[in-house]
Amino acid sequence: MRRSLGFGLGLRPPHYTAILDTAPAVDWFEVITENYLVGGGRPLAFLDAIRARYPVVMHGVSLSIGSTAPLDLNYLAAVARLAARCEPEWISDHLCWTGTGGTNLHDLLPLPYTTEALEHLAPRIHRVQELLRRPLVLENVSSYVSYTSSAMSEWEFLSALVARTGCRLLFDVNNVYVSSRNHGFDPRQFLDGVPAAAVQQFHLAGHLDLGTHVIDTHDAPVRDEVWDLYGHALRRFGCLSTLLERDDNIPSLEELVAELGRARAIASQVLSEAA
Amino acid sequence: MKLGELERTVQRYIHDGGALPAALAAAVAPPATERWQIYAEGYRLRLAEALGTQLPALAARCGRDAFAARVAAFIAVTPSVHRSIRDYGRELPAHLAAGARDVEDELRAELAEFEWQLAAAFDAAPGQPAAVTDLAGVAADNWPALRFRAVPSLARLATTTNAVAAWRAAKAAIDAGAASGPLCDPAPERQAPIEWLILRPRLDAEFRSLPADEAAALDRLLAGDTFGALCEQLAATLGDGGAAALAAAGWLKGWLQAGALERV
Repeated sequence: MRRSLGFGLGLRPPHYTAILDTAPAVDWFEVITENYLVGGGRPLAFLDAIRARYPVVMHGVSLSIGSTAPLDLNYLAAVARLAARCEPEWISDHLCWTGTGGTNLHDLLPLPYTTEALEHLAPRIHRVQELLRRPLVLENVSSYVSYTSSAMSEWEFLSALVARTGCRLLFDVNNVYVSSRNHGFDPRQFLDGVPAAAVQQFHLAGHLDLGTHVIDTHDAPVRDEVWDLYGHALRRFGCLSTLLERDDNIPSLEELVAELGRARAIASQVLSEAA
Repeated sequence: MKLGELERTVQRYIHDGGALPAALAAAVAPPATERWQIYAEGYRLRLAEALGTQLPALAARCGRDAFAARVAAFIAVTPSVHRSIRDYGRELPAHLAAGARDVEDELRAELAEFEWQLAAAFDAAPGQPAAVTDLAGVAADNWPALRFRAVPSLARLATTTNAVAAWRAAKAAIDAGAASGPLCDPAPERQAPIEWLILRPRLDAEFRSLPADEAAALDRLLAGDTFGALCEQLAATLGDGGAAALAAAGWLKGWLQAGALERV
């Protein structure tokens, strides 16, 4: 399961045709699960066509694993049906909550890092893993608030969750950087604190630096500080599957493929150092 | 604060807006107000952006400021209950219609409904449309008992303004990159009701207007009437059973050729 897929891009509708027409130098694509939980039409037709040529990973934004509302079994059944259709290499979502009581705030809200939260999350993760019949891969989210009730660091919380559930981690390098700036911790401490064997994949994305705080925007190229941290992540975790995300101000496919080349170059450098 | 209470408090604050509750100020490290506002502002921006993406012709017709004001009012009273943000906004046309003060507002509400239905057809399930040839083997005695239902992408609606002409104009302006401000052409006007049929036979949604009698017949069939009941009702209207059967058969052939119906 930990085989590296190489260097991938988030699949976005503006690139559908270019992907099929030009067969870009992209090793795999990550699809936003919710965009394809539909009956049919163009999105699924393109997904089928692209899936026939590239490995695919499903990445959800609405699981809301940390919500105190009951798990949405209809949603999970739809995710399982989509997985049966596109046979993803793995399925990921975020370690967060997105709403409660039937409302969806469409945001990835952080949890307090408490024993109560761990005890709440563990049986829910077990249940999701049973329903999807595979380990769940959970991404660390960027955050702007830090709860005073937290009894441990985020990396200690992630480590405890992995130990309790066997879930795997999607290590979002940009999110670690963003949160480190917003909460004043050393991102390398985070990096050193999570269990290396549980890390499945990396995410890279751009952010907006406002000086007093940093916003996770996904609307710009990856910044140098994040590339630097990515190099450290590669040294610590190995050359795992790497995914470049862009959700706003989406440039041409060529531009993203070129940016992905920087990830390849850094990985190549790290590998040569290790040799 | 227990996790459930924390989540409910955060959600109320993000959706309702207003002053930061003391409990949330105390729950996080400072500067609490500024940090919670990032989430509250992001919530409104994200939903507004999703509505603009889903309803570009409405946004173009309204212009940036008027669209922003209308969707802000809608977001304030309509929390999302959808897993996908693309599904948020189904109630916007009704919200606009309820607040309509003039014919332009009525047009915008109908334009929103029309555009929403086109978007819904875009990724609807294909269903199993029946073909004319599927009925070739049906014995004549069994035709009256035939029942049909709509394929998943089918939508029916009626307009009482020139909303569809406004949709066409807005789409042309968007395609030409000329939709920066409110669009006034065509001028809004009330019209006799026009019936519309929206379908996605393959990958692209299509629409056409329907004559009132054909629309009424299709609606009866979709409501569960048998083909025989449809013919009887039509015969009563026309006073001619033969002409009624001929008209109903002609319409049915057209609907089947369009891929609009599934056999029940």
